[in-house]
Amino acid sequence: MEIKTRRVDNVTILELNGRFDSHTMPPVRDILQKAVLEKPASIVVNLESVNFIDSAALSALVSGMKQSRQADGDLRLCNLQQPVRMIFELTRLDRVFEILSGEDAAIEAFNNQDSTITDQ
Amino acid sequence: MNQEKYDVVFRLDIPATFKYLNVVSSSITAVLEQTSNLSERDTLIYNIILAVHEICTNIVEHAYEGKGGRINIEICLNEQPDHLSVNLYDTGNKFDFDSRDKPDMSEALVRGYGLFLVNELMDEVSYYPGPDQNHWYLRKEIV
Repeated sequence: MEIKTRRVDNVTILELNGRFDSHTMPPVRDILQKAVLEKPASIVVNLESVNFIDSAALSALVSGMKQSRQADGDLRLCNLQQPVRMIFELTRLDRVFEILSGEDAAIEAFNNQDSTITDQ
Repeated sequence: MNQEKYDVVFRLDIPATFKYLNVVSSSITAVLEQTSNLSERDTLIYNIILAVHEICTNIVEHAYEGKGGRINIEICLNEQPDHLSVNLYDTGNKFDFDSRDKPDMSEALVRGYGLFLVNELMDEVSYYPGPDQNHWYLRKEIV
């Protein structure tokens, strides 16, 4: 699996490509563990090119999401292919993660959240 | 179960490591692509691949504890009636199938999705621990 990471507006973007499963999950988990140490711990995982996801990958994402929220950040998902989305629905993780239709919307959601906090 | 006559049988004998599980996915896809009248084909194939993948992962992690071994797999397609069955055999530790916990999906879990997904995605899931080998049987109607 190909993994690309970049920072946009203080948000860490992970762009994954291919199978996200028990074999390919460990490097993603390692990147997430470093990303949650950033201030703010704002992470977007772009799954547009992920055509397969298994329970190990779900576990890595849940772990990253919980750690980022503990650091007052969040891990958001975007661009899920339909079969992948169905797995999130089946496990009810679609109610836990904030899932957006595009990467720009996911980044903007963080920026809006930041400005709300600043305004307060 | 073993008395059924299958139209297509693929047999795989793979090392019990995560690295080769994509081969199982490719084989299931190849078998199901021979059928002509599947409804929601892509979703059905995805779901079966994921269920079988999760059993293989369970065998790698729990039966063999990540120390290697082999997984023997039979992928059987029968068109009368239309169903796909998959037999998986390992010689590792036995799995306590009956005492597995049903995960509480009302909260986000870090672990425990694997067998939940298998049960949700397949029509029948059975496990037969044996003195020489353990046997998983998965079945899915493909009408």
